[in-house]
Amino acid sequence: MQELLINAWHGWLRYTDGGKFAALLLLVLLFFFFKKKEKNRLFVLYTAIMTVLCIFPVSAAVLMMYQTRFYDYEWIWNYVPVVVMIAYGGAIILTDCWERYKGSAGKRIGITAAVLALVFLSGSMGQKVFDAEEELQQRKQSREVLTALSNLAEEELCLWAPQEIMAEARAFDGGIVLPYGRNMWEASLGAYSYETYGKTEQKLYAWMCNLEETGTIECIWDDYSDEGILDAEEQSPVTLITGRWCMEAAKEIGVNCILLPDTVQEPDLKVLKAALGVEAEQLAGYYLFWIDTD
Amino acid sequence: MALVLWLLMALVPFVLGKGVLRILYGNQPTQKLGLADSMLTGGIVVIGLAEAAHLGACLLGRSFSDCVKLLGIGVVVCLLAAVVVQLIGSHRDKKNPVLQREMQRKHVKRQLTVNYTKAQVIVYVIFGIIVLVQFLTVVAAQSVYLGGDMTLETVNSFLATDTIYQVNPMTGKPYSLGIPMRLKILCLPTFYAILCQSFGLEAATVVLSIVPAFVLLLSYLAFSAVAGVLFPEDAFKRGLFLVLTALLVGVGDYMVGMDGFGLMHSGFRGVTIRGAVLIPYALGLVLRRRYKLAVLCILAEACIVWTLYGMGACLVVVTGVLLIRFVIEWLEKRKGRKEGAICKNS
Repeated sequence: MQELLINAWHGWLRYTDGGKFAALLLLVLLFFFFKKKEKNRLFVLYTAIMTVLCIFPVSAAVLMMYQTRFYDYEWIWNYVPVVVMIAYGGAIILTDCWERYKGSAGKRIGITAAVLALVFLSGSMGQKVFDAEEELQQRKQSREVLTALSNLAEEELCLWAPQEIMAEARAFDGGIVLPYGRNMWEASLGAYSYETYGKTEQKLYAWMCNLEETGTIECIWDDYSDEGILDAEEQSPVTLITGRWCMEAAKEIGVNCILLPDTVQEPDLKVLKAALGVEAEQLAGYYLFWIDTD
Repeated sequence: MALVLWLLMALVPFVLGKGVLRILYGNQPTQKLGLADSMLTGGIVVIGLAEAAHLGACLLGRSFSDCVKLLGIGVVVCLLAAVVVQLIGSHRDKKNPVLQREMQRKHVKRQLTVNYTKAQVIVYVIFGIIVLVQFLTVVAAQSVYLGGDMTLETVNSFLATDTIYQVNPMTGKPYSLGIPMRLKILCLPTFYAILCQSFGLEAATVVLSIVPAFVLLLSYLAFSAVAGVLFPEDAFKRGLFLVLTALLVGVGDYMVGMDGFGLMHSGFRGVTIRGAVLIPYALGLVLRRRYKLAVLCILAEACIVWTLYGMGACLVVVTGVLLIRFVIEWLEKRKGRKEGAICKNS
């Protein structure tokens, strides 16, 4: 419960951080509080009560429990018709003012501009939550590589590749099998299934990340079990993952196609080729290995 | 084929919705149920049919192809039933003189009020332009947020393996431990996969482009239904409300979880459909005391979003408004009784 309360409070701070819809909503509610006659009293009252419940940490924590722990704090704002209420308030304020200042075009324009400015200033103001352009570009490039791979493949692909390719592979073609998927690095996706990854897959992922970052084929891996105790099989908390081990492990778990970034140095490439017993091909900035799994 | 899908996505919900509204409320014009209600109710019925097909295939262990057939049969049967219900209903309406008089009166009233002022036209044109820009942006699918979601992978898995939830969408390998039951019963990925299979479209086209654009339009229908409740007699204010709503959707995409973000960047998600379509619609319904349809919204949410044993946000909204209404009416009654007693005493 304490954790939920802290989450609720931090959630509210987070919610008011990015944009100012919450402030705009409170402003509109304040307007209705001082307004004498209100036709849609039920709607305004509902919004006001739910807003208070979402802000107050104890009630927010209860709402969070109700919506299940699958969702974060911001989703409880679903219960508050934020957009509807702000738009309703805005429409009432504008029409009331236009009515009041019927003779003065300047004042009417000024009020309209002020309301519109408030709406725009309370939004994203051009700030982006995610870099859509970069993501799209990355996805396009990955799709090009995956299309080329699919054309070359003679059997069902079991692919091990750098993160950007792995992220797009299953969205590109449901027939491609992967040793690990997007949920390896996107923890929130773990909630969708009971599946977990074995140590081999985790090591392969760590090794590939290291290869992309440093270009070296040896990687140090902190090997702590979930409880923070050393695994009995491992002699040391730190394990050295070698390129040779990774190639053999990938082969063992059924990978028949490996893509590696072409930043790998020639001597390292020789080691990997020797481990796999196959030659590497060049494919759009990657080294491609076909492994005969028979 | 995408055009055919668009056409059917507009037509099927409309016809189904008309039929269901006829069954639930009888003659629609006299019940103040319009195009938005038909479309949204039809959409909810489609979700229900998809859920039935999905559960049928899942529980009976049938293949995905069987699920496609099941939904196809379900939709055709329901469409026929809706047409028959509508025909019988309008035949009965014609024979009902009281209803005919009321409809004639409403028709005359509508004709008298149909003359739009210049301001009304302007405000609706502005709204149309904003929605068109947003629609084109969403259809282009240049700014899709895929973080924390695996709908696309799930749809591709169904299509590639001809099974439902048999392989892990992240890896393509068979599940060893499976997925939570509460997730397994949700029908959206199956529904999207059925659309892909039936119309020969790529999963990315359906999930990232067509569905989000359709959800955006449904969302504005829901908002327009709410506008009808908030400003029943004033078309200009309704228009202004919709313009402001469209602006708020456009600028309110600053955070995951905002309606604007969902509609502009991830309209295919169940949470977006819930937040931007079902909740506003349920709110409008409960404000105008259309409880049967509000229950349909609650059920639809349970089919598409992970909820607490079927109890989702729509239930909170509906119950919340009902409770407040009950308290207000109780207070007013008490106040009336007190005033009555004072009058008697004096």
